[in-house]
Amino acid sequence: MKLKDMQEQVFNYLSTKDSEVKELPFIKESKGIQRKTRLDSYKLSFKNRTVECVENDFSVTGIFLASDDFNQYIYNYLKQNPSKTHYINEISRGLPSYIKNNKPKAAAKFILDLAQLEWAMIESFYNFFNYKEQKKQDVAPGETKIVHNHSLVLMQNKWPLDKIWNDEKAYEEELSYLSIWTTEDRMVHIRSWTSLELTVLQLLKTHNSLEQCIEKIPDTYATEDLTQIFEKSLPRWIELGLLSLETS
Amino acid sequence: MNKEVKFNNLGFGLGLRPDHFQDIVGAETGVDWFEALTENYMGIPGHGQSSLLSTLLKIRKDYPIVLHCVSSNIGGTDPLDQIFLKELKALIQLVQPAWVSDHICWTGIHGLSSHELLPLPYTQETVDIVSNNIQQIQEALGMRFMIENASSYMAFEHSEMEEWEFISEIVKKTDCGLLLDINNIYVSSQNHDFLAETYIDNIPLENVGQIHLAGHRKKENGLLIDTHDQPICSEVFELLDYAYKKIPPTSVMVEWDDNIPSFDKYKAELMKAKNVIKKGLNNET
Repeated sequence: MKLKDMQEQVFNYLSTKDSEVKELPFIKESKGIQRKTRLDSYKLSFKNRTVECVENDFSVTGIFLASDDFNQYIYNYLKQNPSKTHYINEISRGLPSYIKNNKPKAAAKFILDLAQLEWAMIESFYNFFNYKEQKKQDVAPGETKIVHNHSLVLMQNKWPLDKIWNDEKAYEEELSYLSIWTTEDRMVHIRSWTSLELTVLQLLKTHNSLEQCIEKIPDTYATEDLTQIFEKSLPRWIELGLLSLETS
Repeated sequence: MNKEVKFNNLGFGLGLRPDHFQDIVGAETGVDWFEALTENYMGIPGHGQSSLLSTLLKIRKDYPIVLHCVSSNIGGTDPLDQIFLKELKALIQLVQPAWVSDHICWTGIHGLSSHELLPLPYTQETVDIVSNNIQQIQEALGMRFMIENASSYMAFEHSEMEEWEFISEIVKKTDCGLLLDINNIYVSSQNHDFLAETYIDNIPLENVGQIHLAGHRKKENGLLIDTHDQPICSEVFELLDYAYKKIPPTSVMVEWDDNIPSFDKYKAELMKAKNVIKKGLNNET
């Protein structure tokens, strides 16, 4: 038997539900341990590692998906979206798209948005620990440098996802302006802000100089609102670890 | 026996786990070296400024580091993943490890990954495929690669040789290093009914550059599973004593990946290994 044939059959065995696969006769039976038992020790480990990885990554989505069998749902997802990289953390990336095309009838109305939020939280975590520095614009002498937390994700949504996430039973449409970020203690945070706060956060995220960022704020906003942001919200963002400032 | 020193003896080391970073960075640990799991420090979405990597580099200033991979897929029938090799090479340049290793296994096919260390049939075809992949890796990295005997829970009807003959053939073809996992030998010997001592007696010990020790579990179905989640059993320590007397002084380390204990308990396991070796060598003289 060629190595490639064996590998194809074993891989198929591992990635398919029990009832759908045939026994593999080329696996040796010995010590009174059946070949199925031996194969299933790998199958169980494969399942634990991959299916449970996705289940854990989308544990809240799993609750609101209202699928009869979330485990089977993930199996089907992985069958269509098998892992193509050695980084297991990537395995869940396609689930929001899969949900979009395979939505159970009883799923919550906000299920897709919730799945996108959960993936954003995972990405935020890995970005915090694996960020690759990009080339940045220069900060001129005398300007204040914005030190970014590269795990920061900003989202606008038609559902109050922060409340849903915190199990506040807020299941009616309501615009939310969210930030997701990770801190050194390995915690991923989610918090909602006002529309203006999100706009300013977006500008802060894309600039390296505080002064250059302020110049880009549209003059349609009221001065007192902006003053409030820089006097109250900015210190709060720094305190929470969304960013920090360095004076040159 | 070939007298060439292929890998330096680093002493007694531990598998580096982020849970213990605080115990290690800037501290006097009494541990000689650490082994880092390569894939934790490379990849998504890149490396260079990673918090994990920067901690590893801090530790590297005080200790020798070796890199241990799980994704080279040296038993795979796909071409080697060139992106993985490129990222591995970049990490090697940063960390300057004493050596790099991976398991004798396959992990995926047709570009798909199982994230499992899957066993291989011991055939001449597999020897050729694994050897060819190791040679390519050695050429790409510009260094001698080290391969670890993996534990296994299943064997193949069409195998043409024993595991130790299979490994010997690969070493003969590639002159790669051997990472001898004593726990894996014990686990496989129990699962496939062979004498662990016969295994040790018949592998090219002159190429052994590192020894792994770990804990395992016995399942209700009779299989021993390489869980790395508990202390090392006495049978594995006895096998360590048996093996160590036969090989040149070699770097020894303990790995623990699940139910990770405190750093002190982890280190105590390493000290047990150190005492087993010391006692064994004293008895011999």
